[in-house]
This record gives sequence, C-alpha cells and structure tokens, in this order.
Amino acid sequence: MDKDLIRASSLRLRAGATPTRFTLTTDHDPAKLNDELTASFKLRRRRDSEREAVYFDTFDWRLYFKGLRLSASEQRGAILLRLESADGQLRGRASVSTAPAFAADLPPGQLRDEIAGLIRMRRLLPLVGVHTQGETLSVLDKQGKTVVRVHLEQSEAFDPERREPRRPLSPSLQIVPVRGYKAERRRLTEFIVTGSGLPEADGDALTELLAAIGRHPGDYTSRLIVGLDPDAPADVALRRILRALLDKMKANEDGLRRDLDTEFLHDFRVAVRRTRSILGQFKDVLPGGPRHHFAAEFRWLGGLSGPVRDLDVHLMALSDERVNLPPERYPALDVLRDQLCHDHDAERKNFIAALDSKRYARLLSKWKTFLDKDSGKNRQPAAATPIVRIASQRIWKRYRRAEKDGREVAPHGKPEALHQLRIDCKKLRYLLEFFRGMFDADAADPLIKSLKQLQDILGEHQDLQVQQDRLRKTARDLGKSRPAGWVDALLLTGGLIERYSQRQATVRQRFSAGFSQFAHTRNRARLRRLVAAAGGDP
Amino acid sequence: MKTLACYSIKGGVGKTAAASVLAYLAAQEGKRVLLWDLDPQGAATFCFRVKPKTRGGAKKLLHGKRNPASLVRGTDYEGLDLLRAHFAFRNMDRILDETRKPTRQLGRLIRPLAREYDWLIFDCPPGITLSAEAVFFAVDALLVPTVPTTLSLRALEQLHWYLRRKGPSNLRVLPFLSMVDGRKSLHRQVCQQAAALPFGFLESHVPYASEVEQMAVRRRPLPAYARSSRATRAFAALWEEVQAALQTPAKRKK
Repeated sequence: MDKDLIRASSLRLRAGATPTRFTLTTDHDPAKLNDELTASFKLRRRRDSEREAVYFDTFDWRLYFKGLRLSASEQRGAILLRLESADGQLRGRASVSTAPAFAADLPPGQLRDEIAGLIRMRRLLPLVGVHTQGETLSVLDKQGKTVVRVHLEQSEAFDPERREPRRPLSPSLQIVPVRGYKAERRRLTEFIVTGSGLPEADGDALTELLAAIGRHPGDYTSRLIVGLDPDAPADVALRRILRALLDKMKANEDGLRRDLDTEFLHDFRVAVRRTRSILGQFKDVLPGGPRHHFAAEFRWLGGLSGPVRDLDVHLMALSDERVNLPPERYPALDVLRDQLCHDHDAERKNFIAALDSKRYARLLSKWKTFLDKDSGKNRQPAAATPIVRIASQRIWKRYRRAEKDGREVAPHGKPEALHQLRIDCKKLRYLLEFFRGMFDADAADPLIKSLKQLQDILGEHQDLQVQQDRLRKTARDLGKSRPAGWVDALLLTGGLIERYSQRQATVRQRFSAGFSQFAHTRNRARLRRLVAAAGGDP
Repeated sequence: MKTLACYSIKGGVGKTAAASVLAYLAAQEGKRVLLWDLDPQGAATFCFRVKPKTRGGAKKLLHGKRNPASLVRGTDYEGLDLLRAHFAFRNMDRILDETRKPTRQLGRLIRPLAREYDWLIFDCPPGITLSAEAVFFAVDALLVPTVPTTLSLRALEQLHWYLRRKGPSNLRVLPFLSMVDGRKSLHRQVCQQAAALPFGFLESHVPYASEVEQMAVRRRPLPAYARSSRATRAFAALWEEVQAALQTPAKRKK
C-alpha cells in the first residue's frame, strides 16, 4: 500500500482536537504548496503580523515533563499567556499585566488550575524566545465559515536574556482543527500528506526551539542519578557521586544568589547534606586527612544556610496559616511577618557573604581537585572493595540502627529519640538513593517509599519544633522593638505556638503507624534479599 | 461553570444580540465559552455562520442519550464554541414532557459541559413555555433584554410574578434596557422610571443601533467589526455588570 496513504490513515485514527505539525524541508517549495492548496480549497488568507513569544517553565522543567507548554506574548499593552499541551491542544489562556513569576500571580481560571499544583512554590523562568512570521490560511465552507486552519510559519529562536542572535528553524505547516469539523480536517490532512509528502514534525515546537539555542529539556533535575558500576572500587564510585553533587550545588548557585525562589537554596542544601553524608558514612574509604578537612568545611557551609532555609519554610507556613485566620487578625499577622522577613533578610545577607568569601571559593576549587584525582598513596584498604559490597553493608547496618532507635521512640516519645531516628532515616535514605541504580528496583523502591513517608512525619515534627522556637524568639523581639500593633502580634504569636504544639501531638500519633509500616517484616525481608544479592553479609 | 440565559417573554428584543456579543466578549477575555442556541429559528447559529441541524438526534439529546458535545461547533473565534440550533427544538416542550422530570432535565444535560467551559450562555426562544421553565431551573441567572415601553414593563412584571410562584428560589433576574432609542419620548420616560422600579434593572443600557442589526448581514459578532461603537461599549459595560452580579452568592427569596 502506498506509504503516504498508510500515514494518512494513521493520522486519521489519531485525529481529534490535536493539531498536526509538518516540517517544510528544502525539498518543499512553500509557494507551490500554497498554490496547490488554493486550487483545491476555498481559502481566506491572512498575513499574520510578526509575533514574539517567550516560553516559561520552572528551573526543574515541571511543566515540560507533564507535557505542558506555557508561552507569553505582548498584545495591546497586556501580556497574553497560553498554556498548551505538547501536541498543541489549548489548555488555558489568561491575561496579565506583568510577566508571570509565581502561581499566585496568575488570575483564577483554567490556566492557573492546570499549573498551580505542578509548579507550587517555584518561579516561572524564561526558557526561549521565538519570533514568528507567517500566514494563516482559513479553509472555508459554503457559508464562509472557517472549518480548519493552516498556519504556515517561519520561526526564529532566541535566548530571552540576550535576544540576539536569532536562530532560524525550518519552516513549518500546522493544521489547527476547529471543533466539530472532523471530516474537513481529515480531508485537508490527507491532501497535505498524500499530495505534498511533507514529513510530520519531530517533537513539538518548544523542543525544536530549545535545540536551536543549545538547551536540552531536563538539563536540571533535583534527583540524583549517577550510573555506577557495581564492581568499581568504592573510592572511585564515591568520587563520581560527589562530583554529581558538586554539579548540583553549582547549578543552583545563580538562582540562589538572585533569590529567584526558595527551592534553589533547598536543592543546594540537599546536595551539601548528601555530600556530608558520604564524608561521614565512608570514613574507611576516603583518605583520612582530606576527608576530615572537607567534612568540616561542608559542615560550615551547611550550618550557614540552615537559618535561611528555616525562615523560608516558616514564611511559607505563615502564608498557609492566613486562610485559617479571620480577616481581623491579618494586621497582626503582617506585623509578625515583617519581623520574620527582617530576620530572613539578615540571615540571607550573611549567607551570601559566605558564598562570596575566599573560604568558599577555596573550598570549591580544592574539592574539585580532590575529586578529579585518585587517592594515590593515601588510599585506604577498604577503598578497593567493590562499591556494591560496601554499600549493602552500610545500608543493612543503618537499617538495623533505625529500627532500634525507632522502638525507643514509641513508649517515651522524647524529642531527642525522635531527632535521632530522623537522622538515622536521613542517612539510610541517602544511602539507598546513592546506590539505587545498582539494586533491583523491586527491592529498593518500596523501601524508599515507606522511608519517605516516615521521614515526612518526622520532618513535619521537626519543622513544627523549629517554628515554635522561632516564634518564641520573635515574641521576645517584638517585646523589645515594639512596632505598631505589637500587642496583637504578640497575642497571635502565642496562639500560633499553641496551635503548632497541638499539631505536633497529632503528628506524633501518626508516627507509630508510619514506623510500623517502615519496620514491617516485609521491608526487612526485602532489604535482606537486596543485601544478600549484592554479596553483602547481613 | 457559570450559566446565563438570555431570556424574554417577548420576541425581537435583542436576546440573540446580547447572547452572541457577551459570549464573544467573554471568550476574548480568555474564558472558555459555550453559546447554546435553543431557538429553533437559529438566529445565533446563523450569525456565527454555522449550519443548523434539521434532522436527527434532538430527541436523543434532550433525553440525555446523546452527548451534547456532538452538536458543538467551534466558531471562528478562539475560546467560543456554539451548540447549534436544531429545528426539532421547536418540539422541545413535547420532548421534555416525555422525560421524568422535565424542568430538571436541562440542568442534567449541561453537567458534563462544566468540565470544558467556564461560561454557558443560552439564547432562548420567547414565551413562557415548558422549555423556558427548564432553562429557569438550569441556570444561575436570566439576562432579560427589555425594550423601554410600557408593555415591555408589563411583561417583565408578569415574569417576576411567575418566577416568584413557580421559579427556583436562587435564580437571579437581571433585566436591562435594550434597543433604547433616545429619539422616542416614550423610551426616554420609561428609562427614567426603570431605575425606581423593583425589578433590579442593570445600569448599562444598550442603544438601538443599526450596527447591531448588521450582525445577521455580516455574520460576525458586533465587536469583531465595530470595536469602538457605542453599542459595543454598552455591551462591554453590561458584561462587566453581569460578571459582578454573579460573583456574589444569590440571596434566597423568602
């Protein structure tokens, strides 16, 4: 059967509301195509005015990987946002006065509903700009009604920060259906496929534009994905992981300095924490002197960023608290908020100063040097052991420790016991995440999942504690500085402390369920199998 | 999804114009709008250049056995779809009467549309009929174009009396002065009286304008060809008032 007819049939089967894009290669003459269309269909043509649009997404490509594309273009003094799925279906439109930054800036409606839950607290950043020129051909029926549209477009991609140079893409032809006119759309699609033999475009418009300016979707993710050879010597494997973590730190630095959103600092801190975890849990593998030095330096770095992160979380929690309060208390909440923002700015200043310091610059360069070379004469005996054996041993040991500490928590409920368990869980989880690639997914993933659930409970408990402590400090500060409305703010603070304390009690109740789930014999058996399969010795 | 019906007991008062123009304005603002042409005459359908349906399917549709989406056509304007008129809608009273709860039937039919549209606007045929009752029970508000004459006010009074007795308690009624001709002294008089009447007239009134009648000739909605005319601006102000009225929750009638 004719190849083009087969393609036309398969396109028909997929037809629905989704437009279809074709690429005009150098073999195809747009003018000839135009003439052919004019000869076979009643058309109205309109030269489109030159348009510019910029695509937006979060730093970690949240919209892209959910198959969504968000673009903004200026029209008559306002900014028009369009949300489409990757196959071109419209999923929402909105009009705003300034470029969109956060979900809260978007007007209520379909567009916000579709993306707010995905992007959450992350900022929308410009990805790539496109300059388009083209023509729209409207195919008309006997009533003069448009039944299907064809966009013939010539686009150029540009970096939204720099605007020049503009990189041209191959011209494209896009069929945009009108709802309820399936037969007409099919007719046109078949005509184009069989008549001109245009190839269907590879991927969607955004992917092409990104490629044109040299960017790849997913060039950043917060997940740690490092390919490891199970038989590689332990110190070689660990250096690979550490290098990946250093890359994550560096990737987040710019966004962190510019204070684009709270997650840059969060991801930076996670990378630092993971680095410290390796430095702490593999003392027998990495060379002693340097290991000790870097452990201290990363501890310094982690310690400096802690207060900023705590305040980020606290301020977000306060925003959430707003909906639980009656409007009369909003002024008091604002006074409290201002105090916290003041503290936040001070802590941020300290932290940025540390990033600008010589100490930090030295840390990064010495660390990189350390990671790029091998241990040489400082090599420890255990360093040559295959990583899979060492990893399994550590994982098993850490799991047993967490089980034991967890059993301490239930009867007494002491905050120190909870704190210790939280540390155990974190260490165990990092281990599982570092070495996940080497193990059977069936074994590792369910364990990581119940571990995450347990950690969330413990984390919430910890956050509530930190926030109560911070509120107590804020209460003292309000008493000293006495800004306008300080008494009401003080009363509100007291109320919030009480509320958080009650919530902690509720969280502790959820703990036993979470821990049982985690320490379940099923998980233990899985872990045993995982460790045995890797040649470890449980 | 918010639902609005352009309704009047009398014919020829500007229902189709109001329904079409407001639907267009809503879509321009970025909302997803469905305009449902319930009038078997199919004036709105004609104005948007869609072919009305003459045979097949209306009974199944009104009995809930066929998805309303099958009658939907995209208009030439992004965000605005039209559920086209069907000649069989002239028998709607009889068809609805065959269902179990005729006045609730329409409300049931439109539920699946709520996922796809932000606004549903009905263009209704005139008269107090079973179909009209079905609309009363299906929508958030009635937009009632009222030409400023004594007899129109009487019809409005009749509608209010009817709704108080037999209509749903949380239905909003939004009358507005339509096709106002400032040259006629009767029109001027009635316009002045209207504000004092207990019918809740909206402030915006739409002037009589030949551009509006042009919609059936050009077969495009008014703002698409006369963006800055007086009538367009009046409809825009009307649309703002309608949106504001539907923001606040309805008071239940005692």
